[in-house]
Amino acid sequence: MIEQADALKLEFEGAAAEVKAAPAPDAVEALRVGWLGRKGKVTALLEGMKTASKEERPLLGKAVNSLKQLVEATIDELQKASSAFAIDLKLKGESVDISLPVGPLAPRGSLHPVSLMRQDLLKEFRHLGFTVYDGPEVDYELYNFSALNISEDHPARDMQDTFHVKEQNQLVLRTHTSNIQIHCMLNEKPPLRVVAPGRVFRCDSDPTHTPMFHQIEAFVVDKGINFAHMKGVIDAFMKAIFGPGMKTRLRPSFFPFVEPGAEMDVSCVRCSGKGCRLCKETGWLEVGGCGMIHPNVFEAVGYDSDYYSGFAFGFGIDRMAMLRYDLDDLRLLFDGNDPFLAQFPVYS
Amino acid sequence: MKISLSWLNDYVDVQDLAADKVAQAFTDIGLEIEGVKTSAAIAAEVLVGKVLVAEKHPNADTLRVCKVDVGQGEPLDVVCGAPNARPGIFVCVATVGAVLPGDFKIKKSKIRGETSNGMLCSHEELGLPEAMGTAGGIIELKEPAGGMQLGVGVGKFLGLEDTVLEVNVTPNRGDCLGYLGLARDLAAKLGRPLKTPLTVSKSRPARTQSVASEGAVKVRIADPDLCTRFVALAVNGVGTTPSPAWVQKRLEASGMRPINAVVDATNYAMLEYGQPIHAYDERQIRGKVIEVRPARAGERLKTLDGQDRALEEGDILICDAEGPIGLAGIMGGEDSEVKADTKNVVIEVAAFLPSRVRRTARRLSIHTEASHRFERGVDVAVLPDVALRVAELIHQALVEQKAPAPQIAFDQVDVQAAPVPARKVALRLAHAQQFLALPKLTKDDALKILTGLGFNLLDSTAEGRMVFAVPTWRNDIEREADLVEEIGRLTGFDKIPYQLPVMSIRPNPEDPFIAFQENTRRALANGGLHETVSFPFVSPADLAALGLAPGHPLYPTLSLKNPMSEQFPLLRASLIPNLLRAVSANRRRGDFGAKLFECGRGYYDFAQKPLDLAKYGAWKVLTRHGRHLGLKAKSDPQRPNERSFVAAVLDQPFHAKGWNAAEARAGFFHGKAVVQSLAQAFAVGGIMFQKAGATDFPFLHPGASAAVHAGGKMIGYVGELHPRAATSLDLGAYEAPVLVELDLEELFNLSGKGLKVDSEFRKFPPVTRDLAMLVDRAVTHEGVLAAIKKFPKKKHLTSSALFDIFDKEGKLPEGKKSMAYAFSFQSQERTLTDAEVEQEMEALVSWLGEAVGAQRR
Repeated sequence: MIEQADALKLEFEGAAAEVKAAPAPDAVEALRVGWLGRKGKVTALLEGMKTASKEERPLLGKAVNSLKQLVEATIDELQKASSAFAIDLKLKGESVDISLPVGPLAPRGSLHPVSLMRQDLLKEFRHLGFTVYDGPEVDYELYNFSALNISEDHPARDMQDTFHVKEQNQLVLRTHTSNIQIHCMLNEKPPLRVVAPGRVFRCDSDPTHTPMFHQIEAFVVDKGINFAHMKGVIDAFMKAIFGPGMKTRLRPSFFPFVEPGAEMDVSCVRCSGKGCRLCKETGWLEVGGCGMIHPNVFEAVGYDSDYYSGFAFGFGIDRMAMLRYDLDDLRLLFDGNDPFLAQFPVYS
Repeated sequence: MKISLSWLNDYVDVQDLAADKVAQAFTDIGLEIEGVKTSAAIAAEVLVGKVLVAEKHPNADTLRVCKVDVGQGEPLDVVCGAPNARPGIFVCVATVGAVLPGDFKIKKSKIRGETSNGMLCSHEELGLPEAMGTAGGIIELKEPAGGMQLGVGVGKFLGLEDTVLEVNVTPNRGDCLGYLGLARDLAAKLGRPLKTPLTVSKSRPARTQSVASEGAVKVRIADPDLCTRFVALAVNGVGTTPSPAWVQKRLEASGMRPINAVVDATNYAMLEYGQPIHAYDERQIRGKVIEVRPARAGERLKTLDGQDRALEEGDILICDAEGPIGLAGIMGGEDSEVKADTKNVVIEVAAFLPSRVRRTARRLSIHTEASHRFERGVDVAVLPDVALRVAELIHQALVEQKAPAPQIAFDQVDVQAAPVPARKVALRLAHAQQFLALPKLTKDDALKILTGLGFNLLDSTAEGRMVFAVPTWRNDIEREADLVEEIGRLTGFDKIPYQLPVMSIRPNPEDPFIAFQENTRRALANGGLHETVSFPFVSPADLAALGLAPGHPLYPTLSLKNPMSEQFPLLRASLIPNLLRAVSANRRRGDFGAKLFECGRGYYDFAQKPLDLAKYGAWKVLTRHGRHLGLKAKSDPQRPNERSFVAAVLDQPFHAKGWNAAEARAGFFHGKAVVQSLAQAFAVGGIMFQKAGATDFPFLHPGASAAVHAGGKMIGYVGELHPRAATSLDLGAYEAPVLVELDLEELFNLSGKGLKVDSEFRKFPPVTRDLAMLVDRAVTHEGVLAAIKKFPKKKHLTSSALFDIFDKEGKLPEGKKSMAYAFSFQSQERTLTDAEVEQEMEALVSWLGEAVGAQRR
């Protein structure tokens, strides 16, 4: 029987070497069953020991034991190798075409360019200590005009084509965000540093005018506020938005609710003031209006116009967005064009 | 206003300045130049030449054949009939190709057998004023000091190339609607003297005793508030001669059409002074009486443009003995024009109440040169001068045109209740220094600027308080701020430094709703939707297609008197109609699957149309909103409600087919997911979906829609568009998009309220058991959850998740469906044994059998 054990050892070494060459898990398992299983060769040998003579037993026991140890150790080793072999095998079948198209992990939406612009503008205004205020879009002429020193019989009313509401006299769609100045000042006491963004309405439509658009207006009221402060804040704000190289310039103009009033220019964002088609070779872009708040406005809201002074400046958010995203036709902004809107990001 | 630089030069000397410099100076003081256009007053082919030879024409006694040197090539042969054509003189040669006034083209020709290659011109032929001509013949140009350069354009030589500036005159500066006013500001800016028209004119015509204005017309002003002054001047023997060419040219440069000498003189003087003028044929003033009075109700007047106008009480009328002949300050009556046979005229120069002129002009939708100026106010003090100026211009025109000179009355009718006293305004130098941040501004600087603009210093103190008389033409100057502005404007804003204010840091609290709206936008954009912004103007046809009728809370209660388009007269009460329009527009462009959302307001006027609550019960808690209003405005009961909404539309398909996914349809549950993601993003608790009623939501699919409730209120709705509405909107019954609309303010009020933090640390593992059960089709998930909540023998059950629904016809007993739940059991004390979980599970199954009729499958 000892010879049998030795022969089995040789046989096992051969079989193990074969499996080792490609240790697939089922081959290893078959080897294990064939040798250590209930009807396995090692098991049979151990069974056979019962019939061996007393003299043979110690030697035989030693040989069988060593065979058993060898088989167990080898199969253990092969089992470990087989799990790595199986992974390699799996990987071979799993190569993907990395060029296939996919969308984002979660579907990506977008913010409207005007929202993106407004969020940037508000961020800079808040940095400068301004508080955001809101006001009504449908408002009385008192707030939209009269309290802003635009009396009913003054031709300055014609500066803006106003939508009038049919159901109530004196009710209009606000033509500017300046009505928020009145609402705010009627409810707050100076010092004020307020910024008011919003939708405004004028009956006008062409590539650069839509019946609804967005304005943003900032105003400061305190004792001792002067024209140089207005220039300083406007300059600081525009530099924050367009970069430190930006220059600003004010040209005298007329808005009934300010005095003096001015048009607000910034150096051209495209050519940095050298002159190009966008700025009609002037080097400047007109962005909005500004001025020192008219004492009549302070008096309309019950502020002491001798004690307090202030300034306001405002501009179109849409126009800024158009400059930033290089858009030509304002109407595209309000068309609900899904592929156009989908191009914009969620964060500015 | 369009101004010609050569004309402007009559009042302020700007000849030495290039046009762009003049334009810049205007813009710098707030008179923005919006356009600069240079035009040649004389055709470029009219050249300076020198007559070398002038011989008698062989076949005509009065003609001469000249050889003219035009500085290039051979001298030209030109036949000329002027007696003063002689060798040695410098002349204006219209060469072949030149086009002279009257569309007169110069061609090569033969005159009585002699070749003529051009024409030597008189001032009339070139349309130049008589003063530039030479009596009885062709123009003889004076040789300048540096010698004559032959061949240059005559227009250039005479400095007649004109530039027209387009000035944007802001509505506060009525005084700048005339050359004189513009010149005055420019003169002040440039520090140059101002010349007034009456001193400009060279020869003042004599006035005659034989004509009396008082005799021609009696003027009565019924209400001195409506007409502060009325001046009339009679001019006899005018005829309807055309104006000289130079007058015509100037009028055209300023955008007016020349008519005849009389009308042109009134327009010319209006452009000079900014004062509208009317000339009446003496015969039109019946009874030789003019009365200025307010119109009476029911009166009518046929105006010059042929329109029969209904007048209202308070319109200002010019009347004669028999009735209205003109709408004061706006337009004359039909017969008030100067006629072909007009001989004697009465010139009216008056001042009318600006606000009244404006009101009438606006009501009648008439906008004229006159009303434009009267609305902005005129200079009452200058009216008699203007009347004289008109007479003088008529005189000058007729004389130049070789017509008999007219006779100008020796007197003027001048009716004025009381001379308007000059306004007085005080200026504190220290205030101007502080306000403009110009500490070095001196009293002299301020004085120089203000007196340059026509202000008179009346009084001044050592402390720098100065009192000024406001010039009569500056109706816009009322208080100190106006004077400070003048100083700032003329000094130049570029002289003011840049400073940052030092302010207290008292914070103005910001309404958190403002940030909430921006966060809502980001949340939806992060969820895959695209933000859009639409106009709030809604079409009644769209609302009808949605089945919405007046009285429904989503049907607009406000509309526009003057909509952009008759198709969209209503102000939206919901964002949905225009979002659906956007979906249609996208589909027409071939873009399917739009996923749009919008944050914006809808408007609702409680004051106008109270809700029909009997009919639309779901909306009973439609509350007033007013976060955007201050306390004062909030308390106004008439003020319309402005509700902030967030709305979304998901078009078909939800996503298109791809290599790794089949096409997916957008359905109710996508809309519900939009609501849930917002609710979760803002920790809004207690969101409930209830079946939407067909009356409350006629535009939603009755089987796939829900009203969204939270906090005891309905805060919005979600659902598939009703196939009928989809068909009416051309969206297709089987391609209906999904809609969501939520009241953003209600959502904000509930935000954070649903926040529950479970801070227990779970040490022992959960055990899960699945259960598939048969229930009646009518049983809802919500019903199952409610039953589980009431499970009386509950010990360790911690969660129940629905993982399968199966309801295929024929596979299950009639009227049944299968719902499968995964239940989770967990203890805080120990790991649960199988036996105790089985026990609780059995109890649960029998409870569900009792509560919802469930049978284990």
